[in-house]
Amino acid sequence: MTMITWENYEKYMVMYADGELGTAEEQALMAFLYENPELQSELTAFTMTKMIPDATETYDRKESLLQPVEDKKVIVLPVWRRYAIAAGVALLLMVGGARLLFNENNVTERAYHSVAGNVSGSNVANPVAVTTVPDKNNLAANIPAAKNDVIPTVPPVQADNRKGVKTRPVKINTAKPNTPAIAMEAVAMVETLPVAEPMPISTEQKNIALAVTNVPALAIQYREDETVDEAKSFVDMLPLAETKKQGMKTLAGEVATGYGRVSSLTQEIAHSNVSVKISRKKLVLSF
Amino acid sequence: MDAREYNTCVHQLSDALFRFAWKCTGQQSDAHDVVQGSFEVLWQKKEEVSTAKAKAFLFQVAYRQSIDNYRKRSRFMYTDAPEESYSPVNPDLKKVLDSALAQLDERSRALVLLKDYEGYSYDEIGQITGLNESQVKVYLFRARKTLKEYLVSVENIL
Repeated sequence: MTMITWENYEKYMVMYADGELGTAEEQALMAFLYENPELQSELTAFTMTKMIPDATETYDRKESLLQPVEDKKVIVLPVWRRYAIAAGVALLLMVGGARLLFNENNVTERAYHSVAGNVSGSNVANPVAVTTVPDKNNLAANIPAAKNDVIPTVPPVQADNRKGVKTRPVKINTAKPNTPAIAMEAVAMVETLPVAEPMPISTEQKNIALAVTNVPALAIQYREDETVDEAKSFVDMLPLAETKKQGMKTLAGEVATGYGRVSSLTQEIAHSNVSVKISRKKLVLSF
Repeated sequence: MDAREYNTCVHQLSDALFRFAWKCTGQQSDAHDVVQGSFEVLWQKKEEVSTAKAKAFLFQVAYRQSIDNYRKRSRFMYTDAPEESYSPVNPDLKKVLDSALAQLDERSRALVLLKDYEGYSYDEIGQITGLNESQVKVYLFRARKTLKEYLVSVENIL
């Protein structure tokens, strides 16, 4: 039971003004004031001592207090992942670069497609088809069927059919049609083989002969599509056959195109707001 | 607390902290220093202070800095009180209260402001100022009596 007297009533008035009284204490204070109404003005005076904040008084230097907020997320990987990630990035760039270098419009892949398409296609029996550009749709249908066809070694072409045509034993593994290794072999053929006239080919040699005779024609056509600069270059001054020069130019053009695509890919990575930082102990990816 | 939460504290609490520091020190320039110093400490301690505790932390730092400034500077003059303490022609209660506040010592002034401006309980004020609850009660009781007597004397003049 709270007892409010003339000795302690001010303490309770202050606590009342501060909002610190409990229900029982407040009722006791009101009862005391009811008995002593002359103290009501004193309670009012205590309640008037409460300070009122002025909302117009504001701090106008907030900007100087603010800290920059980093939007980027930073992932710090453990040390053991560092080399794995670095190797993965390098592999990705290599594969991506190779794919750009030898994409589906590339002459070397066209040459490969002609090989794969004709090996298993119905045109095998018709040597005349070797000088025409193969139908892409037909090729797409034929490539899977050619996956299991392995031509181990190309036997030399018969003597009466070798005039003007240079061939060499080429091992073509058609199990992985899109790999750069196959494309590189096709490039080798482009480099070494001149234009060949359609000629009769023996049954057992016709598959490889198709590839051999088809590639240069396709290479030339690709050059025309790409409108390669015909200005006299270093290659023109070399003492080589015209067909070899054309092949070198085509290959150089493809390399330049591929390099440009790899460069643009590198720039896109650089502008993609992703950064890779390799420190001594940590690999930091920021994105 | 990260930078984003810290910046939120700046936007939400800097005005109240500035008003508190201004009334405590009586000097607007000192109040700016106190606010800046308080937020600097908060930023340094951001790893230890949660967002929920930031307000109490800021007022704790501001209270100490205001008291320290006062004690270090013997030149202290409370200039926030109006020159004309009261005039029948200008019966502005706010000015009267500002004049009454200037009658208090720095500690009592801070306790009254924490109570009236921020609504802290006796217990919370004790945690901010480092006093126990009984001490807070005593200081506030004396402060209220001083303020009341000032207001009554002004009314008597009227």
